[in-house]
Amino acid sequence: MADKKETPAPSPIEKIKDESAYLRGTITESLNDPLTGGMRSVDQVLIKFHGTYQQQDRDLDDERKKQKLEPLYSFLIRVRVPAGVTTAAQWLAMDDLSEQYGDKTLKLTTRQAFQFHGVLKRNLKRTIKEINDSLLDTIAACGDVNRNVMCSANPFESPVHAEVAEDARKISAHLTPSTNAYHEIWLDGKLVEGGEKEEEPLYGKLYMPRKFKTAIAIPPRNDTDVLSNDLGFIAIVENGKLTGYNVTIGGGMAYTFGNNETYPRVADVVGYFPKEQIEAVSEAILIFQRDHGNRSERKNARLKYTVDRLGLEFFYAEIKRTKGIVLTPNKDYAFETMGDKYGWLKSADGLWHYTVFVEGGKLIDRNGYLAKTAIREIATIHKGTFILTGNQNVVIAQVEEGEKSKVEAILKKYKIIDTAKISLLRQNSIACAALPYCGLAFAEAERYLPTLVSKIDQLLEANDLLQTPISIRMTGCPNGCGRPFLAEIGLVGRAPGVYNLYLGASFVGDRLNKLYKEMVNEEQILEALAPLLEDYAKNRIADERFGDFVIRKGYIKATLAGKEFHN
Amino acid sequence: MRPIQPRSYSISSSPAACPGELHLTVSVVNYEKSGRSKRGTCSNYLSEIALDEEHVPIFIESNPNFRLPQNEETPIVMIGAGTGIAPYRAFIQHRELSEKRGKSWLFFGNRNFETEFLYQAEWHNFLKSGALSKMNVAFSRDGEKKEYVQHRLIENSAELFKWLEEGAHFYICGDMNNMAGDVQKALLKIIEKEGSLNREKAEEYITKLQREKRLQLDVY
Ligand SMILES: Cc1cc2nc3c(=O)[nH]c(=O)nc-3n(C[C@H](O)[C@H](O)[C@H](O)COP(=O)(O)OP(=O)(O)OC[C@H]3O[C@@H](n4cnc5c(N)ncnc54)[C@H](O)[C@@H]3O)c2cc1C
Ligand SMILES: NC(=O)c1ccc[n+]([C@@H]2O[C@H](COP(=O)([O-])OP(=O)(O)OC[C@H]3O[C@@H](n4cnc5c(N)ncnc54)[C@H](OP(=O)(O)O)[C@@H]3O)[C@@H](O)[C@H]2O)c1
Ligand code: HEM
Ligand code: SF4
Repeated sequence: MADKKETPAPSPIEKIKDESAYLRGTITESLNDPLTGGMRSVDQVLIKFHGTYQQQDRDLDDERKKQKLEPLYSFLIRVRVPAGVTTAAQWLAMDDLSEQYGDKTLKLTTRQAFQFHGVLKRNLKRTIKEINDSLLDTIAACGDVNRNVMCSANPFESPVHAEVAEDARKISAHLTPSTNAYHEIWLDGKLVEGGEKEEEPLYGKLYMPRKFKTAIAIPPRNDTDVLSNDLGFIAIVENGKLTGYNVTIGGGMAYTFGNNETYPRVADVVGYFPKEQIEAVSEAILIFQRDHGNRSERKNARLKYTVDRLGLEFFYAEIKRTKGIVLTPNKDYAFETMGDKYGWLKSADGLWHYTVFVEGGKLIDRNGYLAKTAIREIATIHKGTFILTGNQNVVIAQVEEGEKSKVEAILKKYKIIDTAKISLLRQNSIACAALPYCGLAFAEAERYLPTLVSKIDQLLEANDLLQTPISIRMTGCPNGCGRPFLAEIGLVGRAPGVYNLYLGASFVGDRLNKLYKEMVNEEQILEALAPLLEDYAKNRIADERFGDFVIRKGYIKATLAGKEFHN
Repeated sequence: MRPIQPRSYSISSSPAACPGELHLTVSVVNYEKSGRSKRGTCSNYLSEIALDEEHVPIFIESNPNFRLPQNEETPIVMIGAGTGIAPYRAFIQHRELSEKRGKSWLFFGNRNFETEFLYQAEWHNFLKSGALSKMNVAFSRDGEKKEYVQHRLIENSAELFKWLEEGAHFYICGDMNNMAGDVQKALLKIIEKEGSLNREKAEEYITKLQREKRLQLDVY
C-alpha cells in the first residue's frame, strides 16, 4: 500500500465478504425460510453480487404495520446485457418473466440492463433460473464487482460499432467473478469439492472495495456517459478503422448530503493504447483499484477517490508494474451529445434501426398507451436484435428493408409516440427508480419527472425554446443512479416534494453541474428556472448550450474537477 | 321479527398480557348466492360499524375444552387455518409472560402469504423471544398446488410423534367442515406410521389423547 498511515478497520461489508465463502453466505437458508418474505441481513448484502436487491413497497409500510404484517418485501433483479444487445427471443423471455413474476413492468436501466421489480422471494430462484435459460444472466449486475459493461448503441451503425461491442463483451467475460456459488444457489449446479482456493483468481475473496463500472463510448456520441464510470474507453477511429482507445478512470456520481469528502467526479482521460490490449488494460486498472481502494470507508471507496488520493503518477507506475501497461498520449476525439438519435436510422450495411423513446426507461402498459405490448408484438416478428441504450431507451435494430413496413405498422397500431412530437427536454430526460421501491429515496423521481417536464416545457414554449435540446435528470437521492450531476438541469431529492437544483453541466457529459438552489419545491424550481430560460432565449450565442450559458453569464461557477463540486 | 342470533368469536388476546382489552380475529364473510352478493351480518358489522361504536353488545362464553395445559412446562402443538389462529395468539401472549414455559409449535395455514399471514410480525417476535419455539406455514393459493396445514404435519411426522410421546397437548382450531377432519386424518396417519400401529390401535391412541384432554378442538 502506498499510504503507510495506520490502517483503519475494514468496513463491516468487508467482513461479510470475507466470511461468505465466495458469496455463498446463507443465501439458500434465507431463500428457504417460509416465515418471512425477506432475507437475513448478511444475505441481503451478498445477493447483490448475484444481481438482486431486496426492497420493500414503502407505500404500504404504514398499512401493513397496522395489519401486523412485515413490510411487503420484494426483489429487484438486474439482468446483465453486455453492450446492451439482446435477441428477440430473449426480449420475449424477459417480457414473460416480468408478467409472470414481476410487477408487469420492464425497467430499462441507465446501464443497458433489464430490471424487474416486485419479484417475491418465493419466485426469486425460478426467475433467475429462467433468465439464465434465456442465455442472459444476473451475476455481478450489482455488488462490489465489475458491472454490466456498457457500449454505445447502436453497434450496427458501422463495422466499428460491432467491433467495439465485441470488446465490451470481452471485458465483461474477462472480469466476471468465477465463484461457483451462483450456479449452486440459483441453477442447482454441483458443489465444487475443495475448489475454494481457486475460486476467484482475479478478485480474491474480498472482491472489489466497491462497485466498479465500465463503459465504452464511440465519439461523437457519449450515450454511455463514459466519464461517469470508474473505467471507461473512448474508441479511436482512424480512417474508418478502430485503432485503439483512450482510457478514462475515476468517474462516478454518488455523494452523500452533508459529507463534503464525497463528491461526483468526471473521469480523467489518462492515455491511449492499441485495441489488442483491452483485456490487459482493464485487468490492470481493476487490480489497481482492488489493491488500493479504501476498504474501511465505503463512502470513499470508489476508484475516483483512490485516484484523487494517490495521484496519476502512482497510477501509471502501478499499471506498469503489475501488467506492463504503458499508455501513450491521448488521441483527439470530440463528443457532441449524450442523447440518443430517435426514430429510423439506416446503417452502412443497408439495415434499418428504430430507436424508441421510453420515458424513465419504464416499459409499461398504462392509460391506454400500450408501449410494452407494442415492443412485445414487434419481438414476435422481428428477426434482428434489440439494443438497450444508456439513456434507458431501446433500439429495434437490424431491420431488413422488406421488414421495415411491418415494424412500422405495429408502431402505428399502438400509437408509439412519434419522437418528433416529444419535446427535446423530455427526449433528454432521465429519472431513477426511487419511490416506492428504493429504500434510499428521499423523494419521487420516475413517477414525478414526467409531470415536472411538462411544466418546464411550458416555460420553454413561452421562450420559443422547444427546439433546443436541454438535458434534465432527476434522482430520489444523491447516489446518482440517474447520473443527475451530468445534467444541465439536475434535480436530487431531499425530502418528499423537495429537491436540490443543480446547474451548469455540459451537454456532452464532460463537466459536472453545481448546486444552484437548495431544498426547493416545484413552484420554486419553476421560479428559479423561468428568468434563466428567458435570458437564455434572448442572449445565447449561436449554438450555445444552456449549461454553458449559465456559466458564461455567471449564474453558477463551472465545476472543473470533482473535488470542486462543493465549492 | 326474530332477534338476530348471537355469533361466536374466539378471543385472540390474553387478559394477562392485554389487561382490559379483548381482541378478536374476524374474517369478513361475503359470498355470492344465486347470482346475488351477500354480506355476513355480524362479521361486516364488526369490521366496519363497530369500530366507531362506543358500545358493542357482547357476552363471554367460556370454553373449558380449549385451554392451555395446567402445567406451563407441557409442550403444545397448535394447528389452525384462517381465523383458527385466534386462540393461539392468546396462548402465546400468555406464555410469553411465563418464566418456565414449555416448548410450543404452531402450524398455520391460509390462502396467501403476502396478505393473510395473520399476526406475522408478532409471530416473528414470539419466535425471537422464545415464547414460540417453532412455526410452520402453508399457503393454499400461492403456488401451483394447494398446500394445507396437514401437509406440513405429515412432513414433520417423526418429530411430531416425538412431541406426542413427550406429553404435548395438541390443538385444532378453525374450519369444521373440511380442515378439522383432514387434520385429524393426518394425525392418525402420523401415529400409525411413527408408532408402527395399525389403524385400530392408532384410533385408540387418539381416543386416549382426547380422554386426557391432550387433543382439543375449537371448530366452527
Ligand atoms: C365456537 C366458534 C368460534 C368462532 N370463532 C370465530 C373467529 O374467531 N373468527 C371468525 O371470523 N369467526 C368465528 N366463528 C364464526 C362466526 O361466529 C360467524 O359464523 C361468522 O363471522 C359469520 O357471521 P356473519 O354474521 O358475518 O355471517 P352470517 O350473516 O351469519 O352469514 C353466514 C351464513 O351465510 C351462509 N354462507 C356463508 N358462506 C356461504 C357461501 N359461500 N355460500 C352459501 N352460503 C354461505 C351460511 O349459511 C353461513 O352460516 C366462530 C364460530 C363458532 C361457532
Ligand atoms: N372469508 C370468506 O370469504 C370465507 C370463505 C370461506 C369460508 N368462510 C368461513 O369463514 C370462517 C373463517 O374463514 P377464514 O377465511 O378464516 O378461513 P377458511 O375459509 O377456513 O380458510 C383458511 C385456509 O384453510 C384452507 N383449507 C380449505 N380446506 C382445507 C382443508 N380441507 N384442510 C386444511 N385447510 C383447508 C383454505 O384453503 P383454500 O380456501 O385455498 O382451499 C385456506 O387457506 C369459517 O367459518 C369459514 O367457513 C369465509
Ligand atoms: C431501486 C433500487 C436501487 C437501489 C437500492 C440502488 C442503489 C444504489 C446505490 C446505493 C448507489 C450508490 C453507489 C455509490 O456510492 O457509488 C447507486 C448508484 C447507481 N445506480 Fe443504483 N440503485 C437502484 C436502482 C437503480 C436503477 C433503476 C438504475 C438504472 C436505471 C441504477 C443505476 C445506478 C447508477 C448508474 C449508479 C451510479 C452512480 C455512480 O456512477 O456513482 N440504480 N445505486
Ligand atoms: S438514485 Fe437514490 S433514490 Fe434513485 S434509485 Fe438510486 S439509490 Fe434509489
